[in-house]
Amino acid sequence: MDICIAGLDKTFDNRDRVIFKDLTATFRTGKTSVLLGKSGVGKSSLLNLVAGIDTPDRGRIQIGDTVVSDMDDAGRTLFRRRHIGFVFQSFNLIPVLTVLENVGLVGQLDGRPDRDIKEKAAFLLETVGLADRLLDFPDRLSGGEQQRVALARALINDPEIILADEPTGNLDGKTGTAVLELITDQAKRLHKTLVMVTHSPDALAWADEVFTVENYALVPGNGI
Amino acid sequence: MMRIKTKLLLLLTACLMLAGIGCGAPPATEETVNIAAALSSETGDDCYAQARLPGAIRFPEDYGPHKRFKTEWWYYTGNLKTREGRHFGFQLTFFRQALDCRVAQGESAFRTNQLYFAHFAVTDTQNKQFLSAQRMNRGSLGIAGAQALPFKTWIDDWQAAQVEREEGALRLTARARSQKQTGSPEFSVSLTLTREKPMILQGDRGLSRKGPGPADASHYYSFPGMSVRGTVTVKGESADVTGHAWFDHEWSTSALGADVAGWDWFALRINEGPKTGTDLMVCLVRRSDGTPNGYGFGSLSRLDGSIAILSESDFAITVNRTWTSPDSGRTYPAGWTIRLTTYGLEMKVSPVMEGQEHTGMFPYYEGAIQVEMSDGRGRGYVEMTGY
Amino acid sequence: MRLSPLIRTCFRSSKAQLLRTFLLIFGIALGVAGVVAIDIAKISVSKSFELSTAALTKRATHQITGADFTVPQSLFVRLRTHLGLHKTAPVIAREVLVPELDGRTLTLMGIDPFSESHFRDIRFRTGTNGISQDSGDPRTVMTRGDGVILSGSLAASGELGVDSALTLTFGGREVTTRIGALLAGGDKNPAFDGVILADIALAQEILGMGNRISRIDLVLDSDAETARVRELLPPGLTLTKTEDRNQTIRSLSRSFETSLTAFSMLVLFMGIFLIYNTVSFSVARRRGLNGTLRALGATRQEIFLSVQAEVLVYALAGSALGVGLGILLGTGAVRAVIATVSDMYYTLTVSRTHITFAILLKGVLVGILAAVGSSLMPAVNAANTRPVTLMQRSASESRLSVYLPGLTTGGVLAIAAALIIFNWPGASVNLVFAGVFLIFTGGSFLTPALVALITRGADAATVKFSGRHRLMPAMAMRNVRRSLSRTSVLIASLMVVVSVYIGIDTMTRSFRLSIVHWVDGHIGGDVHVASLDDLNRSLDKTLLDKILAMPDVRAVSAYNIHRAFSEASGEVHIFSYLRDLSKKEWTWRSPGVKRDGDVDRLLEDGWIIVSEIFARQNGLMPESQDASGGLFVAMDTLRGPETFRVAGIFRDFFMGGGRVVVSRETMKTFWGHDDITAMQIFVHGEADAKKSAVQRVMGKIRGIDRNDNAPDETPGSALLKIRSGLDIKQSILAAFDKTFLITSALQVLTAIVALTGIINSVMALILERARELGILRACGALPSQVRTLVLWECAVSGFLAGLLALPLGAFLSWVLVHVVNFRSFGWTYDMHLSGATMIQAVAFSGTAALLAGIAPAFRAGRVDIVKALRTE
Repeated sequence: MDICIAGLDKTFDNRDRVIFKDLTATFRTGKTSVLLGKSGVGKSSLLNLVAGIDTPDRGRIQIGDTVVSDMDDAGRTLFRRRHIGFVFQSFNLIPVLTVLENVGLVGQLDGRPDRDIKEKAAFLLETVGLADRLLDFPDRLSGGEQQRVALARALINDPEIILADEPTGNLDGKTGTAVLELITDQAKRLHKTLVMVTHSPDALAWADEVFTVENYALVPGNGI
Repeated sequence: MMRIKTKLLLLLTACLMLAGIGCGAPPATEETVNIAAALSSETGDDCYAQARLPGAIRFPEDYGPHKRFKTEWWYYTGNLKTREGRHFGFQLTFFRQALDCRVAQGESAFRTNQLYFAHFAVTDTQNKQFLSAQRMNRGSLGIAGAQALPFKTWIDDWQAAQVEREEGALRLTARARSQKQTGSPEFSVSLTLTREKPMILQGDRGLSRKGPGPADASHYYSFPGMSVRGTVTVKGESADVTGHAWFDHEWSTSALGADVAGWDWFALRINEGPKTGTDLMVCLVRRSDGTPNGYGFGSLSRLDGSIAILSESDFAITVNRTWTSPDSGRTYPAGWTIRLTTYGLEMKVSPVMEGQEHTGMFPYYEGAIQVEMSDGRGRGYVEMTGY
Repeated sequence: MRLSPLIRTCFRSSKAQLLRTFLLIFGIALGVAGVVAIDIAKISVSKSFELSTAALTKRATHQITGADFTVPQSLFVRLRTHLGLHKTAPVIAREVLVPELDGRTLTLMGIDPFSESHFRDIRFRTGTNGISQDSGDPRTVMTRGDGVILSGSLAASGELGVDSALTLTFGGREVTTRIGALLAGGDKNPAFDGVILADIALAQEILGMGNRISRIDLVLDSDAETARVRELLPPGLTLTKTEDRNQTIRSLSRSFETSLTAFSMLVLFMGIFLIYNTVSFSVARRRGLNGTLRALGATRQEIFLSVQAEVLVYALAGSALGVGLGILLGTGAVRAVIATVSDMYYTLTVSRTHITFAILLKGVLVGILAAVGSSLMPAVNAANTRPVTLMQRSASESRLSVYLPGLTTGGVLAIAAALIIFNWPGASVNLVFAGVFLIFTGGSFLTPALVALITRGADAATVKFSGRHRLMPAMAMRNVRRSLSRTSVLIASLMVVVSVYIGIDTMTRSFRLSIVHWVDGHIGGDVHVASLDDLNRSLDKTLLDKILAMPDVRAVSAYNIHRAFSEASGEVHIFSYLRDLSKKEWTWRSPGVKRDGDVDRLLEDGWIIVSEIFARQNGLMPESQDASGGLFVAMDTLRGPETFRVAGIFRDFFMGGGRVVVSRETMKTFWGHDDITAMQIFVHGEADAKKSAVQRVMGKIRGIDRNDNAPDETPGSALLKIRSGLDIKQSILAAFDKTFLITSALQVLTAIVALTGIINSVMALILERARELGILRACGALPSQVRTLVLWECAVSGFLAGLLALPLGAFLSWVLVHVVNFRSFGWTYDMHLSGATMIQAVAFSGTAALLAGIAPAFRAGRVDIVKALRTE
């Protein structure tokens, strides 16, 4: 599914701080798009807006045929959990759930049959190379492993879109590269629309398209 | 004799009723008043009987109580001595006071409109001790009362009662228990009084005037010079005694006028010299300024039984000495000269000991006295109020 | 001052959290209020007893009373005129109900004002001219019997004044009189607050006492005097020392004091836990802020002091509020307790709420100490907070796991110490309370370990079945375990409160069951007949035969009662039955006694059986029997002191100094009674048939009564008191329920405490976890799903608290039943742990937690995801 953003305005702090002004962009189906930009410029905010976690002041966000920006919170939440996978910088695994449960969580939240979820989760974890850690709790895993779990979690509902917010930000270079590779590889193989915020120059190697956030808008290229 | 003015009698009642320790108790606080004191406050005299008619006294009925009059008393004072000559004075008084002139309604035997109280004192001259005690009861149920035939008046186990079938003989019994608070020891008397001389109807055939008002009078008769025989016990030590006593019975409703402060009353008996056997009673009613109100009274009973009724002009009393009570701070006369010129009597009178004062909220002096004359001696009692 | 910016920061942060700051203050206030209220109730009851007994019998050394509640007035006259005892006062006293004063029970007291100077000091307000105008005229009231005298404050409470009509109801009669005068109020006549004063003549007429009075008060100065009075006493009259008599009343007072002390301790415990709970959460949630402050250069001491200073301020505010609330609650409690005591046990003529400075101070101190003490650990933790830059998540959790072994050991030791105390027979009541505190503390120390154990076990058992339906409960359970340092405080507090609930409920229930049992056994008759005539309680001898002849009647148990006073136990009721049909529960029986028939045989031989209370107060313990198993007790009889052998001790709930049962012959010989004063009639039939039989029998007895005693058939002239057994049972149970009103109030208080504490904790917990909930939302959890999770967490905590409270509650029940109640009233009864109570307690605990979770859950559902995710 394409992600089409048109005429997007977003401000914070009672409209005192402008983040986006008339932003327009399209992320294409099956492509890996990388967002660059200075700290605090609104990269993560854009992902939040796309995920429906946050709402724009004005403008339109359309994913496939769905106009996300017109939906209410419940609608956005349901859309999010079915069509969007989210990978955070700090993994954000639920500490009280096992690796398997963490991955299955979103599917269970959606009310899918337990057996399907379990099988799917196990399969995904095998895919990310954690087949032997299913019943471990997140605090037993290394950062790289945790992020792999997060990736598996993002894929559990077969979302068309994966949003990754600095997925390697908390990892060392080598591990980061491995995770990056895994994410882009999965996205490519499964034909997902991947939008990734990152500082990692490695990421550019996998990118189909590169955008930079500046002057309240998204401009193609690495902004240099 | 008008010995105790109604108002003062009431005060006496009040102080008796206070606390458990009689008149040694502190006065009531300013804001409140004890129940018993509250009951003795004055009420109108409208429906009480008044003493107005001379010659109205009849016996034996008038030995007993007169409940339609407000106040009444049976008063016994006397001087006694043991075989060895040890001297005792005694006072036993029964007071009756009507609480209400209307007859009490209701079926309970406790019902009454009469209140009785008594003062009992013994003067132990040898030990310079003045012992006194009080009792007070409602006049019902048999715990206190008075009756004419046979004569009896009593409170608890204190009583004055006619000895069986002998109208002229009387038994007095009273026992005061030791009091922890005052350290007063137990003391008691058991005496038989016998009439030796004719009764005196005081004033005008038993109507004794005390002031100028038509109602300023009481019914009043006395038995002079009654002979006494019996025992006095102090601190468990009993002594057989003999002697003479004076008895008064008086009842009234409003005998004293408003400006009367108190009175000085003497009852004397000459027991040595040519005038032995003479009994004399004199009383002055004092105004607020200390001067007599002109209605002083008295009577003289000679050995042969002949009687002379005295008025204020018949006698003169001069004070020689005074004594100030350390308890009440009041100053009383403590030595007198009494002259009855018409009857050729002049006597020096003094208390047998100091401090025969009933202390408390309403202090008064009631004590044994001795009499010195050029040609004889005597004993007697003095009562002084309003000092 | 360097601290001020820190403190200011703290307060700013509190201001931002108004609701929780309010909860903190309210939590402290509630704890303090409970302590103050029960203390006020306790001291007021104690004072009221003291004033009521001491002031009314103040200077009397002795009293003469009669077995039939009356004394002939001729005895008073004889004391005065024969013995010359002028320090004697006749008294008529009887409890009457006064509709004009809210149906209060008051004592109509008839006195002879002229005998009173040695006994009571009765005062009137004076005006300018003698008695003040609005005080009425005591003179005519007393001398003419023109009405009665009331204390000014009592009259004012019913908006009554001089000349108001007053209705006195007693023993089925009703008399109208008027208020003739008012006593000075305030402290002038404190003893007369609950007294209607009348001249003895009027009281005698109102009560229709003929020529009898209730008692004679005496001041006897020597043993010789006492002996002389004794010689004068006719049979049936007893001379007792006022001291002894007041002693029995004072021991009744002590009964109430002890049980109120127990309650006050419980409230204190709950208060401390509530305060600890509230404060520790409030301080803990400041962790982030303190981390930042540390990063900015605040020292440990500064952080510690600023935390303590802030808590102190709230403690002061909470304590002040609590004292106010406590006075309010206490005043209500005093009214309840005193009304109960007056209606059922002993008429308290004085009912004042005594609020002493000491009580209030104690309340404030408890509040401050508990708050500051509770904040000690959190404050140390806060001071040890690492600067925010170095902060690790769940730092405090890892610390708890360090403390866990120590805590657990401490808990085990505390419980062990408590068990030693309880098994030590010489332990004083205070030590027992200390033991209870130890148990609570120990239980709380064990809570984290137990919670961890239980949740882990539950998890391990179900982990394989992980699935959609298990997800929320499993997550909730693990959340509880993960934040153990917080949740165990919450669970422990709730556990304490719930165990108090279980304890009180079990005690009340067990007691009630025993009472029902006893009533059924002892007052089991279907119809009761006694005389309405206070003065002559003997029933017509032919009545028994007439009743036995009725076809509906199965059996009749007829008996008479002699009231005696003993120095050991006060008022003792001696019963003798023509036929004793009561079923007794024996706590001890003489060796050789196997069946109740054996007891009857021994009674015929002059042995006696006694109630438990009598046995205890007379030192009759099974241990004190001689070699042949003989227990002996001496009692005053017409022939002087006599020794009787005891055949058995039975369980009994009769108030007072206990009961003794003797044979008819023994009663006749030693106490001179050969009459029948009461009958219990048993009828044939079951259920409805029985009901109608009871009605028939009652109707017939009424018929006999009317024919015999009132040929003119005037209604109301009947002399028999006829009541159905059911009626009596109900009124006894009603009295019981009224007695335990304050415990019900306490249960309500526990519920409020539980809710307040848990709301506060849950809110703190949820706030701390905003981020985690944000992730859930970001991952696609619906608000409703987040709400469900939070509610599950609450339910799990509540359920665990309820579960852990079961053993603790059962234990507390045991303490209340076997230690507190036994020491208070001398009653023993079996503890009935009811499954219903247990389920109720767990349900209550879970529900309370669930209710407390509703608001936080909704808040959690609305969590701002963006903000939550940003907060790192």
